[in-house]
Amino acid sequence: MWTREEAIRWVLDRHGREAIYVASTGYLSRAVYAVAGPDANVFYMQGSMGLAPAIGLGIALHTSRDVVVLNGDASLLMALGSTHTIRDRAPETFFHYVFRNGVHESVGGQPCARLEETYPGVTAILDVAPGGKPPRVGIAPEENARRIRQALAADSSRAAAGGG
Amino acid sequence: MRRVTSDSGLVAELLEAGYTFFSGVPDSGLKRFIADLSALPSEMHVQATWEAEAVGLAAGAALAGRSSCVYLQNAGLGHVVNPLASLCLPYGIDLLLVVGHRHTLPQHRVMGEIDERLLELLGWDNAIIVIGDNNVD
Repeated sequence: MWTREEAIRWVLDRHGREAIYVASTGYLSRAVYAVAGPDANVFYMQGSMGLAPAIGLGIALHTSRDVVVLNGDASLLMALGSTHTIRDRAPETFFHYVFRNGVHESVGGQPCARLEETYPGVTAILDVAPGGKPPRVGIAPEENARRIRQALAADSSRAAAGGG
Repeated sequence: MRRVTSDSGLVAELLEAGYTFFSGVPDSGLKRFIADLSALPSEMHVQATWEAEAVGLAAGAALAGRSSCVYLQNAGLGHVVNPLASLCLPYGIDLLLVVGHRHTLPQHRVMGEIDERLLELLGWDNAIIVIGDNNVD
């Protein structure tokens, strides 16, 4: 069992600053922001619970960079079909980590259904303790999207040349 | 928002207009549209398990610089209200919706009456409603 922040640092260190990250709804995005900050290549998906893997896959199909999704357990369950789309379509540059704290922490800590130990389309399940309420993500959604577009535009010609 | 009576030739028109990524869930009113998508290079089309996932996939592709399109039956508009409201609109991610319009059978009647108004209420104008000819049975 890790702290949430230890697990976030482990993922960020493993994939480095060149990767593009997508962080899931609620406290997980806040916690990633607290660790990675506004200048990292992180798309802080603060709404649309469950869609972080889909957004990540949509990016990964069109870039040569590693794309890394930080998801929650309840968020995985909300859109479990994505695991099969990932299984069928994701390139090897796509990674999907599920932070398993067993609860909907951002909305009050209510328990969520217990996960299986493995899923298609999930790189690893990381057991973390609920970590409390981090400060809000300090970058506005439109600005966040603009910066991610900019980071991805820098390598679009490379991706096209390599087949993306 | 625009209405068309057939999906014939629509993919060619969208390719001409610069769309390079398509994701969605099949609909009987979009059979030709989807058949045309199947001829594209695989990275240009991902069939989703549900409509919200399609919006997520298309949003990701849009962040990576692609002009992106989501296709769905109007029943699936219920599944995309939150992704449009909490992802696409606040983050400034524009997608084209191609919506197969159904309205005759009991399970389609309510959405068939409100689909365009639902999009208007969301403030989502970038949509093509395919009225089609398959609403009888």
